[in-house]
Amino acid sequence: MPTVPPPEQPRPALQRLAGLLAGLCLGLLAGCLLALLAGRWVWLGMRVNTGLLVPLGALLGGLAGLKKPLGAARPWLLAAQAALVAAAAWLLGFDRQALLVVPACLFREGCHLPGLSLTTTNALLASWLLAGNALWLVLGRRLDQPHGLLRNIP
Amino acid sequence: MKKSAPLLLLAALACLALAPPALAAGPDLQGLSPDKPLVVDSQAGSLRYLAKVNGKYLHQPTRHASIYQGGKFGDKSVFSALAKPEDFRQALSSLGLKAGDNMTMDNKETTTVRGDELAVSVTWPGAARAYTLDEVIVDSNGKPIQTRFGGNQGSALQHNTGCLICLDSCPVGIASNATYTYGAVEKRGEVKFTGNAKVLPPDGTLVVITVGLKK
Repeated sequence: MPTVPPPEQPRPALQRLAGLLAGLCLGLLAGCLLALLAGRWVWLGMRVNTGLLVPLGALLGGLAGLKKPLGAARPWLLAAQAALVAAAAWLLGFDRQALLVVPACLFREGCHLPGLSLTTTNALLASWLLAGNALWLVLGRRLDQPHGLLRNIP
Repeated sequence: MKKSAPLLLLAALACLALAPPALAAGPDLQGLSPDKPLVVDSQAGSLRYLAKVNGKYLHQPTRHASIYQGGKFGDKSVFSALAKPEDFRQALSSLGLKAGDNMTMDNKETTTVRGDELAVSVTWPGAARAYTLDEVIVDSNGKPIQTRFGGNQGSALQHNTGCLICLDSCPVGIASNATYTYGAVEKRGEVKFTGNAKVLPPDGTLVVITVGLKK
């Protein structure tokens, strides 16, 4: 009797990791957009640390990603991030200088790191988004393969 | 090696990210340093203090020109001062300048700040010259900033906002702008103030702010 190879087991840990990474990236950008919107209301901006919305957004995004693991690469997640970046650019008048300064300042304020230079903050944000997206995309592709990790998941 | 390249790249970025920013006092800071952020020049009839440019407010509106960085609103101004408001007030008084002390919480929206009018200028290492407050802060209505020595010692200590120079008449800031009454920026939206990105140096640059009697 021919032996049937045992089916590959799903890897919930990998799915959760992919979800977490995607959520962290999407949440960071969503938090940044909300902080930019809040900052347009000067009364609020002068009384509240609107930058807190940036790490808070990332945290909530990450938690949501953990709660709803990512079964495969989802192109809409990249499209959503692109839309958030475009909206932020529009709010900042498509001013390249403002785009390099304001989100980094908001993140710095939100994380209570006033000594961090903008170059350092921008490097951190760029690494976060590039590495985070690259990792969940790679994981997502592996999870997508027909004979790959998820073939037995309904 | 190929497999470890992304890791090496990430490690390099992490090192770059964690490198501490430079905050050394340069030779052009006119005798000021983070340890000695305010000096009084009795002969010139002015004081100088050290502050740091907050890049955020070169692109976003604010109602504060300068706030002490350790105050409650320390990160809400164009120039985050390294000098404390009580020292700033004391230094202005020591120059013989008269405080208005006319602003209260009750009259703030109907009264403009009194007191001696101040000449405020800003310069930094590598700047072509000293720039007036009107040149480094943009009023959306194009009106000149009329900085007056409001005083407000009691309320400044009580509220601990750290305010040195506010951009509308203020019952808390040591000096404020008599061109507008309180609420013009935040409540009634009569005006928007931002730092002038075309003139000011980048975020984090140490600048020297000179304040004296306007002649």
